[in-house]
Amino acid sequence: MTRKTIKVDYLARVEGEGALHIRVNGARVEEARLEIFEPPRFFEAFLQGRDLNETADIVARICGICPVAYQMSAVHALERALGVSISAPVRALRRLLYCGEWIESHVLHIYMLHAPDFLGYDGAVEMAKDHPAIVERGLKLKKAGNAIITLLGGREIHPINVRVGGFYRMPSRAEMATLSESLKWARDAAIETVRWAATLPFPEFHRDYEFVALSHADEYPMNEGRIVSSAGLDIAVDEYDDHFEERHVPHSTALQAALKARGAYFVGPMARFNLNRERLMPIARELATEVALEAPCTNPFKSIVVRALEVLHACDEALRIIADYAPPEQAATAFEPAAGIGMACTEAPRGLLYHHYEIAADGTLVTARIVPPTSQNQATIEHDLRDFVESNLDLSDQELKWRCEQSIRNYDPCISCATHFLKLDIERAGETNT
Amino acid sequence: MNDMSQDVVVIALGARHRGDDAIGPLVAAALRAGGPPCRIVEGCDDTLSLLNAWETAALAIVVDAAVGGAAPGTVHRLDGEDAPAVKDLARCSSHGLGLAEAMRLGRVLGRLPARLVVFAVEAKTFALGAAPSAAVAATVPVLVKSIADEVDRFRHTELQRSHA
Repeated sequence: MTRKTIKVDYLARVEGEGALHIRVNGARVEEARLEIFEPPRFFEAFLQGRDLNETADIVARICGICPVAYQMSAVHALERALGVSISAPVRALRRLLYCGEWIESHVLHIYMLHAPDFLGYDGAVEMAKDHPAIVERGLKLKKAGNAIITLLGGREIHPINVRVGGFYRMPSRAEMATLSESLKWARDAAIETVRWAATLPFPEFHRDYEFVALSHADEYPMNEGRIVSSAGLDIAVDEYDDHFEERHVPHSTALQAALKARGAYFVGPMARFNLNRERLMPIARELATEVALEAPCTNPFKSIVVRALEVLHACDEALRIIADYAPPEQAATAFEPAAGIGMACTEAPRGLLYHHYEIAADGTLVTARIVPPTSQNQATIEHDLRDFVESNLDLSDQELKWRCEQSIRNYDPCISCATHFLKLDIERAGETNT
Repeated sequence: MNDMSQDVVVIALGARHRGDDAIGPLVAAALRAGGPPCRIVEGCDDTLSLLNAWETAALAIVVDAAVGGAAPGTVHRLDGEDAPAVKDLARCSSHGLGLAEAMRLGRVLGRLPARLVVFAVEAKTFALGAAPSAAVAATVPVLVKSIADEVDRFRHTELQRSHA
């Protein structure tokens, strides 16, 4: 019986610091660990004692790629604790801001991080040599997302315009109109992205996942909804702690989230799509049909197509919000600090992002708790690796290693958020290490 | 900022609270307090952001921490043609995407600024929450002067070209 441990020392094109260790004994994978050794960053601890009004700007620093998600979950949770309602224009603008982040984050992952896996390139630079027009399209598409963040967020990176109750400043109608031209181009480019992504070669791999996402009666989920799953879970956000828990695992500085009843689950674009396909903007639904992507899709490698569909959805919805926009009289709902407890889930580009806060009477934070999407997907990633390796042991070590990296990137993991760079070790003991 | 400053961008890379990785933000702060007219960009978290940051620039100057084996505080000045050297010297981005890749991608796509200069400062520590080392902190005024000199040289060349 051959025993092996497959090792890769450095996994590029993911965010954060970690490693993968897979031990194989004969036809069986004995262990598949996604090791996260990045030092924890203690954001939750240093939010304690801070003024609630500082929260949105502090949590924006957790991630350079998805700061809006952190801001959105934070302000919605705090508004819930304070009993603050937001106006319809604020709600729409927050959705627009989130569209900007989905576009930016998804396009970066599709073009720069994930596509090279499918086309057999070491990275985007090598891909760009053979496919410059495709990479140029990605570059320009991402800029359309950047423009939204810059206008609504106040600047391109770590936006500063989000506050409890609304925004610090609402854009004028003329400022909003400046976004339209690039977004119209982006919508067409997103259609081409979906068609192109759907032609990529996908490994045949399916698992029986429990998909978890927000779901809203009238719209594709972003800022609100009930938490639903493909296994029948249907709960309000304030029931999150009754059904989910975070677990320490020895090989990770990030906690792993699990469903108390059933363990590992799957959040992110594929979960959103599988549970909310009919609420995509019509143009995105049509494209899903055109490329024969039906829900439920259980092949995680096809997440690249789903991300492209979500980019299309976000471009189209952004254009709708801009067309309907009329600046409100108040940029934010006024409120008085009060003691309270509030929680919220929003849909970060990588999936469900839960925030829970307790506020003291003077408006300072007593506690803060944040459960990022990567923590929630970590166990599912490990299960994928185990199953993929077990059913593909005939592959060469080199190909297996490559496919494992690709499997991890199916989830666009942001280890920086979860706790930063991933080292990947796949070893087959008894054979020459790779 | 005057019109002339539009063609020059200083891109300051690094994280303020990761020891010597703070060199970018420190130089950005010093330039704002008294540097040559230029656009200053911080917080480029990915390759595409870097390409966007220097897209409209005729001169782009990048400041970053580096690990190249020289003494901490050693300043390497690299030209846009030195992408392979940047790969060896520039900090290993936590995102697996960094300056070297942006330079290589920029070259492949014809998206490098007309002139690109990289100041890479040898670092001693990247510890979380650590202050920059004395050797690296001492390079801030040196870098501000070097950047001012680069901008002056660039303006002078532009002026000569426009009069030619």
